[in-house]
Amino acid sequence: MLNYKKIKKSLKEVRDALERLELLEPMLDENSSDASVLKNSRQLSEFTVSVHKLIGSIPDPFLPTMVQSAHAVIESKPSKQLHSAVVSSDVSEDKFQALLKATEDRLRQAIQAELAKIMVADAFAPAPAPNGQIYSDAYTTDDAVRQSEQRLRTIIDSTPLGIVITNEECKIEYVNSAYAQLYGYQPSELIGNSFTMIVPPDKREFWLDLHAKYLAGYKDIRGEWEVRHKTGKPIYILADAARIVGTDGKPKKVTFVSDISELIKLKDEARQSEMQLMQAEKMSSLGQMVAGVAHEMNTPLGFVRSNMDLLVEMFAEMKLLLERYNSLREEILHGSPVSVAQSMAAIEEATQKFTLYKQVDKITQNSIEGLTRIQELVSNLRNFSRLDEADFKPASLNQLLDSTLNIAGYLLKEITVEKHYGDVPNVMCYAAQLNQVFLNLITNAVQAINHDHGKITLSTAREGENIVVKITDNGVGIAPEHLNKIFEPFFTTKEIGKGTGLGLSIVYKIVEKHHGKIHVESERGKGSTFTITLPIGKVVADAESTALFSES
Amino acid sequence: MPEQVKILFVDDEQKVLESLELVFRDTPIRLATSGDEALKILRAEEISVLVSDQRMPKMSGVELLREAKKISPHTIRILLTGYSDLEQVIDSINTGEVYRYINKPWDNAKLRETVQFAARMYEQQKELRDMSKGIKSSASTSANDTTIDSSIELLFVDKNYEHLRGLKETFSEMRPTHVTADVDEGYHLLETRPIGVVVSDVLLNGFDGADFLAAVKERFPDVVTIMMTSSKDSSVAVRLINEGQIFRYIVKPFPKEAMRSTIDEALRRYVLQKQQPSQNLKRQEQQVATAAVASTSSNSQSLSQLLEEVRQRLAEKKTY
Repeated sequence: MLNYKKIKKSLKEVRDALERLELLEPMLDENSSDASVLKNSRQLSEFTVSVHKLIGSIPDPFLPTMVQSAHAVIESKPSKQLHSAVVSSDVSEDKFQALLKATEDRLRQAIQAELAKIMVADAFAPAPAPNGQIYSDAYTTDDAVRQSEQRLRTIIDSTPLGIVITNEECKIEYVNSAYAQLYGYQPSELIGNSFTMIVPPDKREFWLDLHAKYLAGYKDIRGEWEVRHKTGKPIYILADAARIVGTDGKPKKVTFVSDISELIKLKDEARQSEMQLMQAEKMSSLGQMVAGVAHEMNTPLGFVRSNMDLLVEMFAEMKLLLERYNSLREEILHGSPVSVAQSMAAIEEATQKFTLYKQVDKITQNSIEGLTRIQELVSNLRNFSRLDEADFKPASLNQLLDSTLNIAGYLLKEITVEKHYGDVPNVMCYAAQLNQVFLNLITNAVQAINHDHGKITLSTAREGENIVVKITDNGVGIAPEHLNKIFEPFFTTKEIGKGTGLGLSIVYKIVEKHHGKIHVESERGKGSTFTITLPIGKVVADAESTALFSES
Repeated sequence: MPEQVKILFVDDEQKVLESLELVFRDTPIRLATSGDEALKILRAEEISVLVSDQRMPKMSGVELLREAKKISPHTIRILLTGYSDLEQVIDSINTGEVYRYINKPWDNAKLRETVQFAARMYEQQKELRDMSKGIKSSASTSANDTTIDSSIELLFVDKNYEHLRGLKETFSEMRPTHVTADVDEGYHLLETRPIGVVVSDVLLNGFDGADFLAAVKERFPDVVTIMMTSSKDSSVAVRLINEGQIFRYIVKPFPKEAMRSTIDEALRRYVLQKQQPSQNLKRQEQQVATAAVASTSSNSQSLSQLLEEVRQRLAEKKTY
């Protein structure tokens, strides 16, 4: 049975192949280069294949005499001279069939080899011009293979992933369009040049070294890198690479890159705004603390200053009295009885005014007490801030709690504070940060108390390798529906403008940084308990990280 | 001379009270260590001046002032405090109607001067009250109930034209309303129009709104002044209390209704002060001051002259 459709299709293919062969023909006459020979041989194979397909599609009885000439084509080494392509021959039908079979196998092998070559060559070739003519010669009999190859190419060219192949000499051999676009170049500007044109100028040595080491197999390229756009502006890429062996048998580096500049920018912005918020919260708690401390400080300053004014007044009174006594003495020695009497009266008057001296003990005593209070306050502030201390070092949580209580003193005037401190070892910590945690929790506890018999209980205890700190109040408690939200940033039950809603989220972060845990138990109307568990940690010798002598 | 009315000092710190007791050793005073105790005294006795700390447990100074205003409206209220944030300062103006705001640590001589000055004002007001009681019937004190004379005009000064337009729209239906971005024009309007209430922004073109309001109060003590601002600054607010006898301090943006009721209140205050000059602390202050020093200020001054004079007087001022 004749399958006309199939024959028609085969015929068309033969005609197309012939056309292409004819197109190539004139090129072969003069100085036929290897490339043109290769191209020709490829075309020839295609033509042969198409002819074979045509023959295959026609049942034996219908085979025309020209098959004999086709046989000759198959016989001849499928290349070299196109002129011999169509030659007549007298080969018997049987022999022809056998030959055809053998040729078919050979062809299949040849085509497969050719296909593999084309694919490698394509991978290295520059991106196709918009009209796609460069690939017009990539014909295969196997539609599936061709399709998959095209699919692959489409994928490579449409992927937003930049792909670049770099050789041992650090020269760029291939880029896909996404890669060229990412850096702002045309593919032709990149291909053939050293890849260092896209790395930061001061990192060139590093990259050349890394490239060599990567190809040698002992360095990785995976990661985030800063590179340079054509305009010189820094861009950020996420890269990964693979080693391949090129058609020339030499190792190449295939690098896949994606632009993460936006991501980095966003991350940066997020980090900055987070820092700003943390700063805002710090300022807000600092503001509250400053308000409290300023008032605490200005109260004793107020009466001490006033007392100094009073002492000045008193000394003025005393001076007046002394002067009058002196003049009395003069009058007694040299004056008249009348002038003595006048002096006596003046002394009497000054004595009447001289009343402050009776209070001098109280004035001085109060002043000294006031100054002591200011002194303590300043030392509390220093203890609390721990500005002059190393960052991460062992500290006593009991002491930290006490210095926080001192600083929060103004809040605790009406509240009973109970301490149940255990005999606990020091904990490796950032003391100033833990103070911030404790101040926040104590402040919250005070704010939760809305009655006259407020009580805050602080306890510390050792549990295995951890210290457990509990801060308990008998305030209003936390609504059950809020319990799982209170450590979230911006969660606040305070009215707008009264709190940033970041306090507890920062507490959480600090505890997390110490590899600790924090949780809360609360009952409406009964109060809340915040429990912090902190690992004791090991004292790390700093000898390893610190040099003895500093560089000059 | 009749027995002097007592001054009440309130502070939760006993040692502050002990010092104040000595500072005012020649003056009859009362002491209290809490707001509750102070209110008890205010209910039981006549008190001319109330001087209170702000930050005290249970009842803050502003809260005490607010309650004191209800119990003894004529008592002059002063805050003597170690620290107050802006909210508290604004509250002390708007709800406590504080006369002076004094920071700790204080200067004994200045404090004495200020408190005694306030006490003298109280005595004078009282005399005026007693006098008018004899003359007028009780009907005249009902300024709250009567509708306010619609001929009293309003003046808004702001550099933001958008805001000025909004204010004009809101208030011109009620009564003649002037708006201007020009301070000199505002001053001219005050001299020529029957303006009862001036509302000014803190930032004016080339001018400090606080200076302007202080000068207005100095020259037109009857005019009720209101500061509106979007930039919160507690030191400006304190200045406005101590130098400008500000009536209200409002923060932009504010609800239209709140502004309306604030203006109503200010107009009522204006009418009351006109009817009973004894209610006007600024006028009283000037009268007490002129009794001590002869005033040189003439009635026809340019704004810049006035501002200069006010600034100078403030610089020389012995009291807070």
